Amino acid sequence: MPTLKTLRAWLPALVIGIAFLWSSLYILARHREQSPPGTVTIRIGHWQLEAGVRDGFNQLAREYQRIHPNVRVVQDAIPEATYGQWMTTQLMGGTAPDLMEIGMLPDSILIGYQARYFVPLSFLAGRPNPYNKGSALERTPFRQTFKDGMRSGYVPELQQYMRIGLAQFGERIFYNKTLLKQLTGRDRAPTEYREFLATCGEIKRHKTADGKWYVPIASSKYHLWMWEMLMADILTYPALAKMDFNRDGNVDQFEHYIAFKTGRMTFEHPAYRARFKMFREIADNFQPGWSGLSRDEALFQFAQQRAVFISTGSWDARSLQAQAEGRFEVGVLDYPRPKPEDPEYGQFVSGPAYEMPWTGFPFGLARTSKHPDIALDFLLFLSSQKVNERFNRIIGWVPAIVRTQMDPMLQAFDPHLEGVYGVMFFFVGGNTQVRWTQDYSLFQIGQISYEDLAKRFGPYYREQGLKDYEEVQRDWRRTILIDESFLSGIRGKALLLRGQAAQQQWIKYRALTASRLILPEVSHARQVQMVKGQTDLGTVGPYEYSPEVLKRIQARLGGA
Amino acid sequence: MSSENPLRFRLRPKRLAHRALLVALLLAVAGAGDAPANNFSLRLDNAWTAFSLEEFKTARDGFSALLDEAAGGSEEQLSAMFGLATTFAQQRPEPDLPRARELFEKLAKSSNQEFSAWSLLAMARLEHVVPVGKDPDYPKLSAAYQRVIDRFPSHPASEEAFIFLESTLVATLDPAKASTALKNLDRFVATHPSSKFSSAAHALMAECRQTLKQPDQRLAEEIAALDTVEVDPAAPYADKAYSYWKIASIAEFEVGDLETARKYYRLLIQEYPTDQRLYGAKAALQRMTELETKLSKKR
Repeated sequence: MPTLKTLRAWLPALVIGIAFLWSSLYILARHREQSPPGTVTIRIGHWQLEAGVRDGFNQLAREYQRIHPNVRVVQDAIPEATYGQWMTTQLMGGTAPDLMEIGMLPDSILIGYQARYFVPLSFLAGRPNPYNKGSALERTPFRQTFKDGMRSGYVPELQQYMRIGLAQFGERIFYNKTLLKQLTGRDRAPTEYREFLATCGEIKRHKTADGKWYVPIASSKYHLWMWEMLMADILTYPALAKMDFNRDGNVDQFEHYIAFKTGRMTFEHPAYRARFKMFREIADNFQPGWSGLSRDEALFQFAQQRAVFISTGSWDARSLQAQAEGRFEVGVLDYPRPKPEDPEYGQFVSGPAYEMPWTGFPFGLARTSKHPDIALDFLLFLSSQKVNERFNRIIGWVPAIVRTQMDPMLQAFDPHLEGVYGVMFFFVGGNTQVRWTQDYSLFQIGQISYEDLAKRFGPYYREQGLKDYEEVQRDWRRTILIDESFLSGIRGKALLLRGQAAQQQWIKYRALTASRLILPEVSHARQVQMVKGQTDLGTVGPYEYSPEVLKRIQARLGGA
Repeated sequence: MSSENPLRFRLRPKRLAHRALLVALLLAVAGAGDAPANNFSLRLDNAWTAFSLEEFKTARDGFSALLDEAAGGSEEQLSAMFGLATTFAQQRPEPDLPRARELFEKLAKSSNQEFSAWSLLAMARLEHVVPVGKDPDYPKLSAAYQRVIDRFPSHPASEEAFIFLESTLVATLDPAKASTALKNLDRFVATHPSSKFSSAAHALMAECRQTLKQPDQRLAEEIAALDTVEVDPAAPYADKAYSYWKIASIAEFEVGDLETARKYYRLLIQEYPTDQRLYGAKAALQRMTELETKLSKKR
């Protein structure tokens, strides 16, 4: 007969044994439930814990299962904060889900991961999606069924399509319709800049029930870039005419530096003055201490009805609606723009901010997938026109596929395909970046004026910029070495191929040799010459008419 | 509903297994004699994939093993040797240039034109693409490119060597050297009308014209470069939008040829309706019309 003492000695082992047995049985039961014999289980890993995403996957998985009764889809929904580490361990351990959302790590790492652990999907790009059969997209190549032409799925470093995006995102201003009406009597939010500022002024004059002042705009360091990029930065677009030396329609940090170093551009440029003035006017309507607040804190303030406006992305739309449900109505507003006749800003703003169509929520197919054909088939199912529309309707996001319908509230997120963009780029390398961040932060929180910012940063930028430039040039040279190696690989494979495949590979080789090795050496030499002040840049900007050119135009007109 | 799905066959394991067995049998019967060669090609391809993924040790081991196995003087042997030489030349952090050169020299002496020409070019590139902080030895570099051109005058490697050689002159931005390069390049496009490097040659000529401050000729060369460009249809970023914008703005602001400017701004608008420069192109059309109206009134 076991004594009490013996029982007590064996108790921990007994408890552990029972717990182990129970766990094993539970896992086995779950496994059988999810994967009865004869079924195939597809795992899909992502970090989207927002309202609706998991429901969306579950619902679509059930629909898929109706077509393919032997397939089960299981989700691994991992919190954003740990997704990067999780992804790394899963990929390196060979236990990655069949389909994996790609992100939450630096680009350089993700490129390496995609090269090693994911299956290239370029072979899909030119074929129709079989799940579009019977729709208007039945014969359309897969790539062209995406609003962004599947650009976001292409990795130039690998020269392959590596991922498929399932939703499109954009940023707008969300506002509390109920509170706006209550505080200002307005039914709709103002779309014109001055009216927007006046509305903010009205809001600031009211107090909450507990005696605190209402805040017009809930903001944080997370939300700041949207106000800057989509409202204030676009005022700098006219300065493109003075700085785009290589005529590519954009200004990079080197062209920006050359323009300032040679005195072609200064902080006195009216477009720059206007940009910083507008920023101050907007930031004055943020809650005090906004620069130290996080994304969640700003969202909380909006949800608590202490602020009327918040700028965020379509990814937050469903969550905001859910938080407002039964309490207040949420509206969506495009960024207010000044009128053309506005005395301060009118001459600088000629359109909305340009928004490049870009697809997010991107999934790749893991090389370790035991059922790659089925996993890919499920991905094609999710990215077919009707299914993608339904999927995004459940989640509350914008579909990635062309000619799809969406929630009326999300229609405001349709990207502006015709618009202007900012050309301000105040750092050349590490040192100028650190200094700009420090000085500009002081301006952002109102500790220094624009004039002080120009005085503090201007001389440093012009002098230190050259040292930064020289350091960056070493990186540029390293890139050439990498490109040489990359192209050697393309050439090596081209030599193995025959027929059409070889032809395509050689076209790729020649096109990249010209664009990455031959011509950059010359344009780089020209840039170095400009930075060192060895080029006469003339008196007019790249997009300004010189007197000689005007004479030539006049002469042509005379001849016509 | 299920009959509508063209991929359904993939999801029936039994049928899939039967088909796989059938395909395997057919392949085995049809290609029994080629099995070792196929295996060799596959392993060669894998070694190149490892090289592209910058897994240089795997690539080196793969090419070395294939080199040991291949029959002496066979194409397989040359393929493996070329892969190994390329890996020695490009591996990071430390390339093994003496071994790379030794193998490339062997390949250059072989009777196989393809590997011989590309090996000579690879050796010239070793002289051109030097480590960070060092400058190429230009006389040595020119001699290396010239060697490719002299030995294989009609091979693509020779055309590429010629373009690289001229680019060294163009990149000096020296007007005298730009004039020399311009003459050479002009002769090249005249004597190689169907060269796949025509576009690169015209683009370099446009650079020469820029150095020589000849905007009209620069514009003509930019247009010629665009007209002869090869676009990789599989790469979504390789489009003509940048060329259209560049040509249009040179025509407008450097040449004063508003008709040409209009043509290329319009091409950008028509062909790239989601391009970032769309607004700028439309604004340019309006700006030019206003300018012409203003200038006409002055007359």
